[in-house]
Amino acid sequence: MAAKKKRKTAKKKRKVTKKKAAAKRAVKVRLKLTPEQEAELAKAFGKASVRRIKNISIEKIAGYLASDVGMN
Amino acid sequence: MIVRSLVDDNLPDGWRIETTSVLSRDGDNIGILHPATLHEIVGDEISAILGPAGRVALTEGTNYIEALSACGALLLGHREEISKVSTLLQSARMSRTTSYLCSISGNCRQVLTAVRHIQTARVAVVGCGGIGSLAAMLLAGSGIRSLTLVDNDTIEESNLNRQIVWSKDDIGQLKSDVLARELQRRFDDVSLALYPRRADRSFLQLLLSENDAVLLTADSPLGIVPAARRIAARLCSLLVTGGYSFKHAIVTVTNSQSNSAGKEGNWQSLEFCIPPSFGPANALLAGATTSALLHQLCELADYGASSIFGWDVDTLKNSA
Repeated sequence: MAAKKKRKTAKKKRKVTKKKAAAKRAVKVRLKLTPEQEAELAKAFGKASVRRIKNISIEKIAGYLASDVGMN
Repeated sequence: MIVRSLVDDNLPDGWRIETTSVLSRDGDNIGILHPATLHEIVGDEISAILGPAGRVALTEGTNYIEALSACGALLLGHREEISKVSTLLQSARMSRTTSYLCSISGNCRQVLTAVRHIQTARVAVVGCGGIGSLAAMLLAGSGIRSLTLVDNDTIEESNLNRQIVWSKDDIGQLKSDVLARELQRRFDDVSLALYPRRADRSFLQLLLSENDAVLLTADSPLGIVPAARRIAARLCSLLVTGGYSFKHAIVTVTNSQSNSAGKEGNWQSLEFCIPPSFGPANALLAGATTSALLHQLCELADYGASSIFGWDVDTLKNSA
């Protein structure tokens, strides 16, 4: 019984570690724009759109190779 | 293709993405969609986009065009700039380099400036052995159109195991001559100047003042690298060096910000010296040196005043 409980706890611990590792991989950032790029975007899409673009969070991953995404 | 129809479904009315990578709105060209942009498909919907800046999830309320902008996949520009980038992306000679430059540029103008810097630069490659011969090929392949090759060595049988440009028939010929022949076979738009001679300090000074950049991979005379770095710093010229110190592969970048001070050592080798040259590491050094040179030349990277990069060849760990 005790051994079973120990195994369950170990499994739980491994799960948490995996989750933490995944979270570590998926660092979220926001796009940094130069004043020139910001002006270009504002001209093309409007200032409200630039505000929304700057608020979109980006997952910094080393390309699709580091993700679970397959290439077609 | 399924992804293409899903992309069209996500575009607002009046927007189009051409197969030439051009994004337009009501017939007006807005920018270039990075041609390597990936779409993550879940079921029959696009769930995320992967661009140069990373992955953006397409959640409810996220505008597809704004998501493209956020992940760096959209390069805005004027009509003419867009047309020129699109043409480069269709050209056999420059398409892959341009696609890479699109990954590190903020707009079409930056891409075109980088391409212009590359295509108008004069670069001297000093030392055409294991690193230099491959580096010259990579520079020409990336779009450099004016190369000066400096090497007084002839091809020996012992070179063939790691210097991939030569074949058995070339043994005994000058490396600079054979390299020039092979470069012309691949790239007929490259102009070449050949100097089958050793690079002493006065000649290096001349090369550094007459070229936009010098790539130094020669391992002799001993002490040539620190001497060249001092001259380049004094002249505010761009110098990139690549070579070995035992198992350490070392790249240095000297530019207009570098300091010419530093003491001169007097190192001497034994008369039976065999400098290390390991084929796979030569390729690593050729790639690293040419990459640093091209990025600095295009002003798309700033290596600062004192840049030395190094790797332990066996572990690939940073050793600088």
